Amino acid sequence: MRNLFLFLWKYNFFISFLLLEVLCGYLIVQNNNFQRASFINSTNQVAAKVNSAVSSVTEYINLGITNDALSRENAAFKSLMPDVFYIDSAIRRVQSDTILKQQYTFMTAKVVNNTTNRRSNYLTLNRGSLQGVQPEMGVICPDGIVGIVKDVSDHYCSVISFLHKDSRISARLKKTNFIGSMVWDGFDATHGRLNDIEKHVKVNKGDTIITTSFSSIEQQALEEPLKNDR
Amino acid sequence: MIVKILAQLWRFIFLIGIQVVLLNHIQWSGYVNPYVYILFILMLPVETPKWLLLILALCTGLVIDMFGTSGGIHAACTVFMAFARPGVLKLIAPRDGYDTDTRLTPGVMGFNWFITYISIMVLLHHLAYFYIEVFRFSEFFMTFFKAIINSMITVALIVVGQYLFGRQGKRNERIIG
Repeated sequence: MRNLFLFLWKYNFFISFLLLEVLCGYLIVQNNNFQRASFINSTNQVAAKVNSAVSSVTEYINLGITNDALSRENAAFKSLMPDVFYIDSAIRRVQSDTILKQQYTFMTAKVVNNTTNRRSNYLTLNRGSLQGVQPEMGVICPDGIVGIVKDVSDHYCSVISFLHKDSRISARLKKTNFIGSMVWDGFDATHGRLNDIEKHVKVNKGDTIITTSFSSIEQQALEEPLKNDR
Repeated sequence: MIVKILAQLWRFIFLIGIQVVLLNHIQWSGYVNPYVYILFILMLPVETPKWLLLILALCTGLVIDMFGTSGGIHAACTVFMAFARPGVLKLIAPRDGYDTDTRLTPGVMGFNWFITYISIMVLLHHLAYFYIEVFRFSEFFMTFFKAIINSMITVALIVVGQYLFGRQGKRNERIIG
């Protein structure tokens, strides 16, 4: 017994190092687990406050880009308005409430913190459980999918970005309906990779890629155009 | 004693602030993200007890993890770096060892010594960080490339920062350095 204590004392530095690394390893595994909440995350009050202070400054710099995205989205919506189409038939479609049930509800949120330069990226949004956010909700933006909600606190939530090493989004080619899985290979935040498309399928530059309804986590049948990058 | 602790605390807050407010938001070319906050561990006095080194490294890493949603990765590799610090200091010790109260700045220790020390430690930290972050060997060389690039940028930032913000040693020592 005495020898054991002597041994522990002699190597106390190495042993405490090992213990701390095991603790960190536990935290990392905890964080990598999609289904479980992590202890150390950016939804706590201090981190989120600082991050939102920073983002309120950088917001102004990106105002032009945001404006462009919004007006593009507006144009897309306007082209769907009923008055845009010619009505050349006398039959009107009747929409009955028993058939058309509300499937999705939407909520706006501001990005408080966002990274694109790591291998696994996360966002922090300024909506939390008090506003009705729950883990595993889908997040979208005018340009397409963003990610999945992971941790939720009272006023903030953290989102697993599509730019994450474990993100796999079920996606298909809009024109030909061939299905693949969309991943990010870690270098360029503007380019993704659509895997598992058969060799014989013709893919042209500029083809649109949209999400499918196969993934249980993503919102079902969320049709969002993605850039074609195969 | 109190003054020394306050000085270290001030450096801690300053470096964490720089890291969180400025460097975490660099979006240059997609994979550049220098981690300058480790300078806090690197600049602790030589005679800091080893156990305190590990505890401080854990705290620093966890704070950075908290801000960046990286869940323990920074803590793991900062602790690893703190574990390596006494060994590295011994390895590159000057001929007559370290005096008590030595400040590990380029002004006091000399520029060559300082840049060797910083480079070794930053490389250790960044290699650990990027491999833990990716956690697979299928992207081995890309991860290696990222670690090297980011190490170089971090070392450059630290050296520039030392001359901009760091209090230098005595003026004559600075000329020698």
